[in-house]
Amino acid sequence: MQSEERASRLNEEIERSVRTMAEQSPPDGFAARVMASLPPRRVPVRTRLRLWLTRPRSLTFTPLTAAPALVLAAGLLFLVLRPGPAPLPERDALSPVRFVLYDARRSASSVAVIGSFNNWRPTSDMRYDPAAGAWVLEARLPQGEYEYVFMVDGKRIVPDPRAQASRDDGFGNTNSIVYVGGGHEQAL
Amino acid sequence: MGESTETELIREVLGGDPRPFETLVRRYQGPVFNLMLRQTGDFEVSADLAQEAFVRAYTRLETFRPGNRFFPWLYSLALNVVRDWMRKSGRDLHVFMEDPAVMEHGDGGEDAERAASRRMDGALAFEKVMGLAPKYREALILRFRHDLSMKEIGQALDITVSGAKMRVSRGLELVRQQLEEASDAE
Repeated sequence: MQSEERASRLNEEIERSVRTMAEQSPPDGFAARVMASLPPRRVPVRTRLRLWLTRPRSLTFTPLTAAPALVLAAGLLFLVLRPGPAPLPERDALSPVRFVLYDARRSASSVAVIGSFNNWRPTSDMRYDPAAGAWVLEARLPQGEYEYVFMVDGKRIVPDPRAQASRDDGFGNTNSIVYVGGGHEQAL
Repeated sequence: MGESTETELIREVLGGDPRPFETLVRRYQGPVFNLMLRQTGDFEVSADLAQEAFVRAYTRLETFRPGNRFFPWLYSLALNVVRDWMRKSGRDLHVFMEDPAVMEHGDGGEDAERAASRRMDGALAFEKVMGLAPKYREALILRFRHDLSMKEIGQALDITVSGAKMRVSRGLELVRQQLEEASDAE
């Protein structure tokens, strides 16, 4: 019993000594030095998708807002359930945009457009036009500049070879750019 | 900083913005730097290794599992960094590995210790803890200094939960034995 008490007392002494141990500070400017040495980060589309899918969301409803929210939810449900490819989000002052990826031999089994206008989600499926030998998506977007790429067969990212412009995303990838505006069709 | 906040920071970094990572660096630079210092005894080398540990964490951030605490994961990476350094510099390769011969008193310096101090106080206990093999020393520091759970200690040291319990228990026992020996010799 006495030895148990002694062991307990010593354990407390040891724990206290570790808990209160003095530690040295890292050199001044250490954090800045670390930040300056970080390599450029490539953000794969897969990661973007995962982050979007796992993003925490909180919805707050009051009685006053519940009815509009329900109407909105019903509208969204209708959009999701109706047949055909999911449309791009529509807003005021939309301009027609036509995305085209030529594939004369139809080597791909599916192509989608992902970009800044749909939060890089593969929801905008393209249809194959045998006459044109190309994958096509006609959409309407608000005026502005958008970055996008094609997702081929759900896994391969392809910049638009006929893009109006392109931009390095800072991580070694190239995004295509479309400028939408003025009510003129953007044939890409 | 709560776990949810850390999760949000990590999400932002994974999304392409490196700036929130600095918050994590500032929060954990002390423990990581001191881990390196305990192992190398060299201030400059420790700063370099701590930096390497954070860079490694940044580049491997996608392998971090949300829902876990960041610190045990970072600590595990930091231990690997210092292991790599010890291997390259020809130091002991096995200090963190399981060893069936668990009796590992602080090596050498017993006479010096006796001459320096015989008092049964916190300073002596701390000295004995620092004299432990790293695998026990770090388990005690993670448990009592950083308040990690046994599961988290297991994650940090890359061992099982029962292994973590054994490390902490055995570490305490080893220090206790040395303190008792010191006390009995007075």
